[in-house]
Amino acid sequence: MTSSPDNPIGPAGPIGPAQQGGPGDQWHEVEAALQEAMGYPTRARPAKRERVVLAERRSSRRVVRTLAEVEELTGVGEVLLRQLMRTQLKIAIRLMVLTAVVLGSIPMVLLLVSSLGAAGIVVAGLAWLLSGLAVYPFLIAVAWTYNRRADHNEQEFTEMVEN
Amino acid sequence: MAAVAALTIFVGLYGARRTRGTPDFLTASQSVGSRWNAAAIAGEYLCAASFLGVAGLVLKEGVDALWFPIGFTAGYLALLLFVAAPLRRSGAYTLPDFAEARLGSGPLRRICTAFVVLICWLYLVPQLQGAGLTVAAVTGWPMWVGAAVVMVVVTFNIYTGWMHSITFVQAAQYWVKITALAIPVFVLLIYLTGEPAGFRNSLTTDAAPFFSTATKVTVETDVVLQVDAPMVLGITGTADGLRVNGPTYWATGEHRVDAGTELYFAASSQVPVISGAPVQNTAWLSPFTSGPFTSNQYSVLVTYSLIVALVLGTMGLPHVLGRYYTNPDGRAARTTTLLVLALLGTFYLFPTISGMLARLYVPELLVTGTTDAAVLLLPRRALEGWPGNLLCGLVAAGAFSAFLSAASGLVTSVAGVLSTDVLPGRLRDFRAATVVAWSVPLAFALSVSALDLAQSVGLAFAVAASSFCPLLMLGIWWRGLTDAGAAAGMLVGGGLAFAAVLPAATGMLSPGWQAVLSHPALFTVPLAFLIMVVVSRYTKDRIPLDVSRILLRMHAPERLGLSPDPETAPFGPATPAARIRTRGRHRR
Repeated sequence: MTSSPDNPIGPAGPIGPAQQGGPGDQWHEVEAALQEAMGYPTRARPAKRERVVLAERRSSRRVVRTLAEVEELTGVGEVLLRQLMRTQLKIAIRLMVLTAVVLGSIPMVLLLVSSLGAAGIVVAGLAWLLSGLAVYPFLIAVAWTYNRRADHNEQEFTEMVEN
Repeated sequence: MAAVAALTIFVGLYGARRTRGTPDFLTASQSVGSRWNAAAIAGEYLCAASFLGVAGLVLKEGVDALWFPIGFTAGYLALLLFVAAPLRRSGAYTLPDFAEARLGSGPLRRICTAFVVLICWLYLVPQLQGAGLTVAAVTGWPMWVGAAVVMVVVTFNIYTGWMHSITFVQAAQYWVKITALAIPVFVLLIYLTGEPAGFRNSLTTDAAPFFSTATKVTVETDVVLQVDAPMVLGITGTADGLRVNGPTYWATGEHRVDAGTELYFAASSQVPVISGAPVQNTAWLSPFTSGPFTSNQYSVLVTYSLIVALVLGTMGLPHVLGRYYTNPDGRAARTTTLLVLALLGTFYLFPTISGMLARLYVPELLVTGTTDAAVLLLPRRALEGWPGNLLCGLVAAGAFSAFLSAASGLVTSVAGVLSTDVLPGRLRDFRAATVVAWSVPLAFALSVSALDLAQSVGLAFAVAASSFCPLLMLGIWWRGLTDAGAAAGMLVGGGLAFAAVLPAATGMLSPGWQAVLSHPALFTVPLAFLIMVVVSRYTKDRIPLDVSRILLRMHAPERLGLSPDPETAPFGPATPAARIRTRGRHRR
């Protein structure tokens, strides 16, 4: 991928000084895509300087520069961080709500079963089984799911930054 | 019991000799694997309430009591979802550290310190009472002996440099506790199959529990008992307002018995159950028959309040969070928490079954209401002779392990913050602080009457849920939190919770007020959140300038190298406020 001289991407301000027009500026594309996704207006602006792309090698310098961007939280860094936090928070809240709903529905289930005319001993047995036994594998399953999703999110973030 | 204490001391001393200094210690523990860490955390977390209290509540209230262990475990889930990895990455070792690192405010740090002390003390009192109960139940010595023994052992260990945070010791304690309960359970279950079927099935009948042998019960505090069917019993003392000496006829209904009275029950006679608990076994077995589902219209709210307190309070317990630092990174922190959940879930099976067995074998506890002794008395009542005594000793050892680990974690937390934030930080001051750390709860524990262990632990959870939970949740996930907002929220929410809970801890209120005041979480937790948000909005100018960097450190995976390396910067990220480098916990 090469970037054209009139690259219609977002603000060049905070990114400008760090730019030396080095090889393979794919992070520009990433930033543009991110900003579009986040709803920032992508405005056309006259390029401040000509970017000449010589090669498409990924250089470690670029990764370091992106890391620096992220650490200084300019532009793409801030955006990526907010997105990561938002994703992590969403999955956490969703799983917590799920847990609350499932736990809270145990009394409902028991009331339902007993109103359907099941023998007292069956209702009681079910109560012990659900509250004393079945909840724990459920909680463990929720935790395991969360771990997988959270690790996955972090991996995506890492790839974004190193990309 | 003495064997467990001696063993713990020995292992601790051995470990202390192997450790050379603070940097070595920190590095070594951070390379410990998740499984050890998880066992250690679980070992420290399972306190008197989990070990004794759950079984006691199951004995008294049946299936409705199971919300306690569920709440304890779900609290860890909440911790995992919202707090585990970011907190580890923040580099903070204690909650006041976190507050200072996140918001950079000295006054806020002091507020956090005060709450750490309060919560630890609230949590410590039931541990001491549980220890007293254990000793009293097993040997018959008075209550203060057990409490004093725990404190002596804890102090001795801390003075001689035993680091309770040695992962190996704590992990071993988890296995001690679970075997201490599991073995008797298995043995008794096997034994139970040898009992006559009528005895076994009595749990499912419509009648009240009954005494299998002639039993004498000494009532130590005034109680109101419910009688399911008319019965005859021997009384020496005061019942229903009259002095009695000899066989007495009790009709169905409620009877009052004053402290100091002795009741004599013949074999196969019915057990009068303390008022408020389900009487017939079918009622006991069934859900919705006790606790929240009795006639009090506020009961449902009270239960929800309890659940909120348990689930949201776990993340705010100071001695739990300190252990997180021994994980090497955020991802390991998550794995460890998952394993903790598994260990806790497995553990709680056993007190539950023990509670059921206790209904068969130790029903006399229902008369006095001190059901926390259930697990301790169960083996000896069920099996005669040396097997019973052996198992009883095993359970007592496990119980003592529970008290010791919880108490030492708590005392260390308190002494640590006292010696660094209240007194100038020096080793001698740490030791002095240790004495202060336990003298107040000890005095309290000995002077007030004991509540159910699980419920009094719940008080500490309520305060933690109303103070540290909002701080952590908002601090980790919301950029807009300011130190003023955090301070306001903690003071109002946590302060109200504490003010409500303190009278309840004395156990001297009427049952209605007791229930309401000891469960303030449903009200104080949302209030704390609300105030934090509102005040933060009003003080927007106080948002730390480097908030994005702080959040980045907490949320970004370590591979990117964005967090400070834990080995070289062990005491947290750079903050504008001066950090006191020496902490009680690290000084040896």
